[in-house]
This record gives sequence, C-alpha cells and structure tokens, in this order.
Amino acid sequence: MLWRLYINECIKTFSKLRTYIGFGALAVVVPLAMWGFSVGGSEIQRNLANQLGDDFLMTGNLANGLWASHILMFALFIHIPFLITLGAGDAVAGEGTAGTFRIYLTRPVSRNQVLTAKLLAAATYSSLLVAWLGLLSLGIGSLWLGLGDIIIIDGTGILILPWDIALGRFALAYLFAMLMMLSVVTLTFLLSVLVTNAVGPIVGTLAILIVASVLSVLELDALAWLQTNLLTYHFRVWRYAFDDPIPWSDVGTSIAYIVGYAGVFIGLSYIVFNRKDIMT
Amino acid sequence: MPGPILATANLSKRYGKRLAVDNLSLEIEQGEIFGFLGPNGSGKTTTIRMLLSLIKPSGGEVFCFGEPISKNYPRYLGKIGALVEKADFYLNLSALTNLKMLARLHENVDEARCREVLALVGLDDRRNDAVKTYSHGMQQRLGIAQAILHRPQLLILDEPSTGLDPQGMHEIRGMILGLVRQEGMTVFLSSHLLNEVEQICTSMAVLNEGKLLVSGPVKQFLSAEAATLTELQAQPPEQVRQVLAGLPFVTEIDDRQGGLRFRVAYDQRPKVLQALTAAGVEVFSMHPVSNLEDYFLSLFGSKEMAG
Repeated sequence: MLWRLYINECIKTFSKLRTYIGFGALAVVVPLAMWGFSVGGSEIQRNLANQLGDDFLMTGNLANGLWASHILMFALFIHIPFLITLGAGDAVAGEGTAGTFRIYLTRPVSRNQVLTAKLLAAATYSSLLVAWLGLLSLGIGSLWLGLGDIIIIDGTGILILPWDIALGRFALAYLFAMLMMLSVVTLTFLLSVLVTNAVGPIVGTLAILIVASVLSVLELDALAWLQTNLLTYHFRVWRYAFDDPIPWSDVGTSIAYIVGYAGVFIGLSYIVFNRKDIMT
Repeated sequence: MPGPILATANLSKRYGKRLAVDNLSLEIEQGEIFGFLGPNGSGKTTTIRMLLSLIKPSGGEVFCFGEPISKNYPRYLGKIGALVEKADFYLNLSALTNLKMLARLHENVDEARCREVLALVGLDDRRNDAVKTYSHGMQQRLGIAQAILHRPQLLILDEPSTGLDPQGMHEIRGMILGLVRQEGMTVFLSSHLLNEVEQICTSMAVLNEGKLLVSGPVKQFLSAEAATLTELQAQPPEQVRQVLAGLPFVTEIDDRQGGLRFRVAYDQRPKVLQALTAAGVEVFSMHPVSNLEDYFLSLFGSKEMAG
C-alpha cells in the first residue's frame, strides 16, 4: 500500500508547475555562472598565480570546471532550501487548502501511511533537485571549462586535490547535501501539518532557516554554545568532503545532529497529523 | 436480524467552550436511506466528519458494522463511500487520473471500474479533461463517482445537491435511488433540502445546535403532520375566517392566496365542516397538507430549514 501511496504522491508533486521552478532556476543560474567563470577565468587564474606563485609552481588550468562547481556549491547550498520549500511546503497544507483530504483520507489507509508517502515523495523531490545541481554544475563545468585539479583555499590552508580524487569528494559532498536538504524537508513538513495554508510552511521554514543561519555565523563567544547546537551550523558538513583527510568525527557529529533534528521534526509531524482535525 | 450498519453512542465534539455535537446517539439500519436534517451550523457536517474519522470525537464512539471504528478506522473506511460537502479534487489532473489515484488505495478497483463509474455519472466522454475545466455540477457528479468507486456498503453524502440546478438535483436523487435498488447500498444523506429527504429517505433524524431533536421513519413525521395542518378553499373569505376563529379546536389560522391554512386535530375535522356549512359558507375543498417543510416550521418555528 505504501508504494501505491508513494506513486500517488509523486503524481501530485510532479504534475504541479511549481515543482519545476527549482529545476528551472538551476538550469538558468548554473550555465550563467559557468559563462561568468569562462569569461573571467583568465583573471581568476592570474590572481591565484599572484597569490600562490611565490610558493608553488602553477601549471595547467586552475579555473577549471571542478573549481567552478566547488565555488557554486558554496553559493547555491545556501539557496537550495528556498527552492525545496516551494515544492515540499504544500505537501500537507496544500491538501488542506484544496479540500482534497476529504476524498483522500476517507480511504482505507492510515494517516501514518499517507504522511510517510508524502515524506518519501518530498525527499525524492529534494534529492532530485540536489542531484540536478550536481549534474548541471559538474557536467556543464567540465564541458565548458574542462577538468583539472582543484585548489581549495580556506582559513586553515590550501588543499590541492587531483581531479580523479576530487570527483569522489564531489559525490560525497552531494550525498551530505542531500541529507541536509532532507532535514529542511522535514522542517517544512512539520510546519505543513501545523497549518492549513500552503504559504505558511514556505515562509515559516525560510524564516527559521534565515534566523538560524545568521545565528550560526555570528562570531560571538556568548552564542558559541548555541551555534554548535543549531541545525544550520551543521549544514557545513558537505565542506568536510573537501578536507584532507576527511574529518570523519566531525562528519559523524554533524550527521548525527541533522538526523536528530530530522527525527524530531518527523516525530512531531506524525503526532500532530494523527491528532489533526480535518476541517477544510 | 442484523444490527445497525452505522451507529453513534453519545457522540460529542467540543471546540473550546462550544459544544458542536452533544451526546448524539443514532442507529442506521442496512438498506435504509437515512436523512440527516438540521439548520446550517447544527452540527451535521461535524458529525459526518466524525463518522469518517476526519475529526476526532471529544466523547462517545462511532460504530460501523457493530464495531467501534476508533480501533481500526482504515478497515471500515474501505466499506464506506463518502462525499463530504462539495467535491474537491486535484484540479490540474484529469477525472480519470483522479479516480485512478483513489482506486490505488483500494483492493480490486481497476481502471475499468473507474471508467464504469464515470459512465454512470455521465462523465466518461470528459474523462481525460482536467477537473478544473468542469462545472460545479460535473464536479459534484464526479464526487458521487469517487464515493461509489469501490462499491461501498454504506454511502455517506453530505448535502450532495448543494449548488446544483433542479435538473442536477433530480439526477443526483435518481442516482442515489438507483444505488440503493441496484447495489443494495445503505445511504446516510445529510441535507437541508426537506423535499429531497421527503422524496427519497426512509428514515430521518433532526439535529439542532448539536442535539438530536427527533428521529424515526419519515412516514411517521408525515402522518403526524397530516393530522393537524389543513388547507381550506371556501367562500366568502371573511365569513370563513370568522367561523374558524370561533372554533376553539382550530389554531394557527394563516391567510394564503387562494385558501386558508389552519391546524386541527384529525377527529375534529368533521366539526369544522359542519360549522362552515351551518354558517352558509361554500366549501370547495378541505384537505390535509402533508410535507416535511410544515413539520419543520412547527419544530423550529421559522423557515430557516426551508433554505
């Protein structure tokens, strides 16, 4: 029965135009960014050479497709949750607004089954969106700017990853990103079962993520205890994939937080949805 | 004799301080068309939503096929078809896709059955059109189609004629009667259209402010009313009024165009005729008025139900 419910939820999700807004937005933004990198690539390469030329012998194409994809991940992983809430926000609340629960929940299925199917469909949507970003940025980047070793500069130092190893790290980073986005889906779901207006969960999720993100990056000692416990603080987990060696202990901690938050959101969603009176 | 197919025992629903349904106990026997009447806001839809587990009762229990539904509601919902208020569907999808999605939630309901019910409600030729292109009447008919899709034993319809033109109402009533006769369904019909209940229901209950006022066979209410409300055609009107006003067993004299209505006990009717003829009044006709609307007017003292 769960499979049949899942099929239904996928039909509902992927028959709506708003589902494709995220996919469409990425299909515009990624090629545009790659074009920008290709136009400004020589200048970027000169700057890198100027910064590192005294210590390293620089050869080959530094501003390559993998490097551009890595830069894009920084920019887009902040914004992907916005696109995800558009698709997942009305999964439950949208049915309340439309009144369709009256024909759907009066069937021989339990509310737990219906919610599980909705959650799986929303997870499918968010994972496809992240995979679409990966496919676009790595695909277009590699074709347009070429493959090459990747230089990663952060506050702790410089890491040069050979392109074949970097590809594996990208796969790992996107896997972590999918997990991050699933936690966003679960938060959207919780808000979606709490209200009957489809706009509420979208605005609510974004408001919570923005506030939590701001709190996560403020460099204030007084907030340090809070920051490490915020969900958004652990959204940096994908970046660990580009450390060498990968700090698996930090990865484990962040994943535990993300899974923990998602578990709480899901648990609360089931409790609320099972007790919810369908009034619309 | 089998027990009731659907029953409620002291069913209640409270919203804050307001008691929407108050200790409601009903029994619906198999094969009945049960009319559930009450003014707007009387708790009919709240009751129906509790019957279908859409909202949780604050107290009491719903029994379906003799067992409490709270223990395993999906099992009972498989035997019930429902149309609650207006029919809402996934508007961007076609009627057939909507029904196929719902069919997946039942065992042994295939696409052929979806086509069959669409044909039954006269929508087969529009099956591939998005529901958003349907008129209100077509959506209500599709609502009936989704309710009977899985051949339920019990059909719960909440004001299915709302917003329909007289032709549409007639068709819906015909469909309900056909389902009872051909498929042997039991029907729980919530309505505030008294003539609808009078025409097709075998028994009924009246709800007001969440409380059950009366329940029983429809005929019982009609015959009770026929004994008291009477319509008279006689001349001259002034003299008729004067004679009736002088009779202590005649009450509620009401002027109507072309006649008078008044209440009189069945066994007092000959005395009315005797008094009128003795006063030289020409009596053209005197007959009992028998309909639920008059019963409700006496019950509620207003025309609110006639809406």
